[in-house]
Amino acid sequence: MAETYGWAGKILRVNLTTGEITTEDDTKYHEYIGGMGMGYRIMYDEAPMDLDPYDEKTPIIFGVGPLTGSGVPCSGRMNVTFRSTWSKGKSIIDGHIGGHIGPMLKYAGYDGIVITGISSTPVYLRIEDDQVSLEDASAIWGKGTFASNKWLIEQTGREFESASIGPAGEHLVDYSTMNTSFGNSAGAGLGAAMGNKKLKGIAVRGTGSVKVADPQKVLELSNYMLGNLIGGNNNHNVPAQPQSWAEYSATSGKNRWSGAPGRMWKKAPGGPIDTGEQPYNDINKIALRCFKGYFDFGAPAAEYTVKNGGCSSCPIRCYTEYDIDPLADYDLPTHNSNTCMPVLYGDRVYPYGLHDFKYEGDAKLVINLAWAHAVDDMGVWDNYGNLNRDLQWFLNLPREEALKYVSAEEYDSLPWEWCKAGDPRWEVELIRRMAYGEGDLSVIAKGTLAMMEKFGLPKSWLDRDDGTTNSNLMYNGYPNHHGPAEAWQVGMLYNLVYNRDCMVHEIVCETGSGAPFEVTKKVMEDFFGEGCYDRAKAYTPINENKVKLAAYCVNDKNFHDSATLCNWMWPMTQSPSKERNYKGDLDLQADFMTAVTGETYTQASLQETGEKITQMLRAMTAISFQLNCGSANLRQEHDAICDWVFDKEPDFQAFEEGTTKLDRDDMKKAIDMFYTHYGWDLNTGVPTRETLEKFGLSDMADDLEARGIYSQSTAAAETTAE
Amino acid sequence: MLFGRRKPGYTTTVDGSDPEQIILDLQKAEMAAKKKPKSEVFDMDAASETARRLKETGSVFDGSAAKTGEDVIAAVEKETAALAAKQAAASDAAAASTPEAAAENPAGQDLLDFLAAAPEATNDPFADQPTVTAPELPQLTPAQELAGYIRSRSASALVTPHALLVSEVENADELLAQMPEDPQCQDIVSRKGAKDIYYYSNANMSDNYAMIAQLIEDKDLCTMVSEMVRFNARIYPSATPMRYFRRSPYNLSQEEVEQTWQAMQARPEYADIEELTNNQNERFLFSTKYLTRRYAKAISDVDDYCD
Repeated sequence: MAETYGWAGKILRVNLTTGEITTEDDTKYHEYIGGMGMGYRIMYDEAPMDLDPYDEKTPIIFGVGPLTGSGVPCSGRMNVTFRSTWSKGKSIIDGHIGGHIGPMLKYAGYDGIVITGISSTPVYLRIEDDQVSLEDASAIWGKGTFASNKWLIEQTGREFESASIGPAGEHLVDYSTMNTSFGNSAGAGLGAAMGNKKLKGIAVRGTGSVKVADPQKVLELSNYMLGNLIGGNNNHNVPAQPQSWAEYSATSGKNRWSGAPGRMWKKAPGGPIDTGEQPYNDINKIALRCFKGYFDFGAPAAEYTVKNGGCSSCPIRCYTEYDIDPLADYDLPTHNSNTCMPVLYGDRVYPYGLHDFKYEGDAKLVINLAWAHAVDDMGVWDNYGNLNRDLQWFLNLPREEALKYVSAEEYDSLPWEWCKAGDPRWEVELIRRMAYGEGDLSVIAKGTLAMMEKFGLPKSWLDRDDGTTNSNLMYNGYPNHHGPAEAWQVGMLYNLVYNRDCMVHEIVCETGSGAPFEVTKKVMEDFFGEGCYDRAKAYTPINENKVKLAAYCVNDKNFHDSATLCNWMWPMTQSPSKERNYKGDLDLQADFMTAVTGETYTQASLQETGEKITQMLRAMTAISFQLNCGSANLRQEHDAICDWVFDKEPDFQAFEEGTTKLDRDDMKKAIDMFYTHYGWDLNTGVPTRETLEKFGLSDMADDLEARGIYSQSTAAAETTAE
Repeated sequence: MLFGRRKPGYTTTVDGSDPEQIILDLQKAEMAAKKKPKSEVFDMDAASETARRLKETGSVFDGSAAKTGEDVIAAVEKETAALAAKQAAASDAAAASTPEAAAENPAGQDLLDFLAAAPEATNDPFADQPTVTAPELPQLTPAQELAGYIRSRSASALVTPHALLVSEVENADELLAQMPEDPQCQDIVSRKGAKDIYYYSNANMSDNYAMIAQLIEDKDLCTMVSEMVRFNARIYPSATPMRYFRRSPYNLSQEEVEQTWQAMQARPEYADIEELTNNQNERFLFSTKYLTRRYAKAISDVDDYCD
């Protein structure tokens, strides 16, 4: 196998139907970096969008990249490419997972795993370097992910990393995940994709290493990054409250550099730890910066915090680890840890409100950590909060209205007394019903679109101006992800691209940093040109630099999921250093790529590769929309924007100071400019032949041609001309 | 039965072969452990250290205990004890073979002695590098010594009032006057407050933090609150949550914040400071010199939040 610097040199192929396990040289995929890029190429080449997502031949592609496991900070991620079962068009989709399993796959000698086929019995994939086998997983089929992962480690050994699906995946629940025992998860329906294949989990041990071309350079770049560029979580570059070395802090007291004097980990072994001050150039205190629990829940988090954990190779410990002892009173697990969505929205399923448990203001924390543990255990995904929003919508309906959607028997079987009492077992029971597909209500976990179809809700249900229960920017079944409310037209544009919530953090890392607007604006305009960056809730009309910024974000995110790097932390756009005028270094990721692989990369070349992945995504999306929606006109079918985005906040006009609403004509112009930037047909949003050929994707252009998709572009143009 | 589904009083048939049941039992034991004094609770760090030592000493511990359902911790402890006994026996044997050494150093050979006696390393990449001796520190002038004092306080997030310096150092003013001329003291700067002049090292403290520290030292809460509300509105721009002043480094009580705001409302010099309540019922102050009420309210409201 062609082991090279950075890349392990081979991928593993596992056919669950035949049990055949082989390896393959992966040099031909290096032009796609790895992870997402490699997954897309393999999916296109080997599993046409014509296949049903649950077809035996449809693969699941686990992919890491040259930086995974290389020691580059914040690189402990793995991308998983498969087919959506729940979003419009049933197209190509990704889940993303942190923790330690991605790097371990590299240490075992693999850049990816392509899993095809369907096993007749539950199995798990055991990888110990070149010893790879499918093992019986009957003993844990039906078990939660925590029990399953523990069992997997008991079977294989403590040196292994494992991940497993829960009952949701086994029951082909569309909102399902694959989880590690630490709370890391890859969602988007991966649990069901694995469950369909009877693949309960993966256990990996690697005793090798990632070969690095210039280790000295990697060390130098790491020291440079840690001492000058890195901030807190999301690379927020000022602390949440004043620290003596810092000129600025987040006035709200709330950003992701939440460690501060007086903010304690009160349940730390050996006694409370005060996170104190963390001067930006004191690299030994970086791990005290991100006190994510404090960011999420404020002071009550300190009472329950044991420590903060995180992923391989990352000094930003964004997983607060708690001991929520009040949950013991409900016979629920007390040791909980997570970050991001699983800990944020559990409280939304309590229409009668919450009560504090042990400390003033701890209700939301206790409830949300119970939610986090339950969804992780049962392997339930929340579709970036749509699960919670849709449940919230239903649970707030008067009984007589709710009975339009579920039977009285089912409605009354819900333990409402727990709901009214703010009892954490209420949410656990709801999650259990979702995970097992019990009752009509569980359709909510099959997707917002499936729920709308079953309940007979019209398309205009997604146009409602109700930020609490409707965050859908488009009509595709997934919600806003750092869209216009944080990133004006730029946020709307990058939300258009994917077949799930976009997972793009390039802008929210800046707008949420807490630094003064003028400071951040200067940094952004230095990088991306004048007028690219708007003040909060004071937007300006679209311009060329905003369009370029939106495309940069998409391409950069694609690179991150291919390399792999954490998109919450990368790129290093801002810096906490006053001496640097708070300006980061966008070239650093290319410098790391060069140092690790020994091949020359530049920011421009990474953007080009990121754009190539965008073009592949767009072409495959067009094909699947043609197959599943009857039209490949992505402008109409995929990129249509819900009315509330333009009609909310009726007291404000678009571009008036104080609103994030967008203007229809301006957004139409923005989409035109975005399509033009990417070389997509203005009427259909499909990459033109010329565009695909420019990126060496003439095979995809031929495919679009053969499927009649380009003739749809011509027809749409004629219609527009008329 | 899954984690998180059991309700109080829930019972099930115990099946020893069911790994989940084993987990539930462990969980139950863990909950019981919470009620014990801390010293009796399982120490994860200690266990990890034990595991590390076992690995280093060639332990065969490989999780097989867990596989066979044995108590993992007990297995580790058992092996630790066995190894300790083995090492003690080896140590005794060594001591017996060199009675003189044992007499001189009964606790065993000192590490430094051991290293000194060790042969020189071959292929030492640093062997040909000259030994660098730390340069002798120059004698500090009194002004430099005083600068060091100010610097150390700055590193502890404290500005140094002029009154404090003159009370501690007889010729403080003379030394302070020398500092601007001394290249070694260029980082010592000052801010004039309402009641005093405050010195700090701008190498150890930011200018804006010195402003905050000066306002705190002046102990004029109305001025402090108004200045910071205006600063935040002008610079970020942002309205200031009232609880901003509850946090470090202000650390005011809720009562102090309320009383200060009440006092400010009666004085014309603070007429530009107004209060608003956001959509989460949180109270803010803002300055109409820099923000309109409509915009201040808009940027204080919390929108549907996602991570």
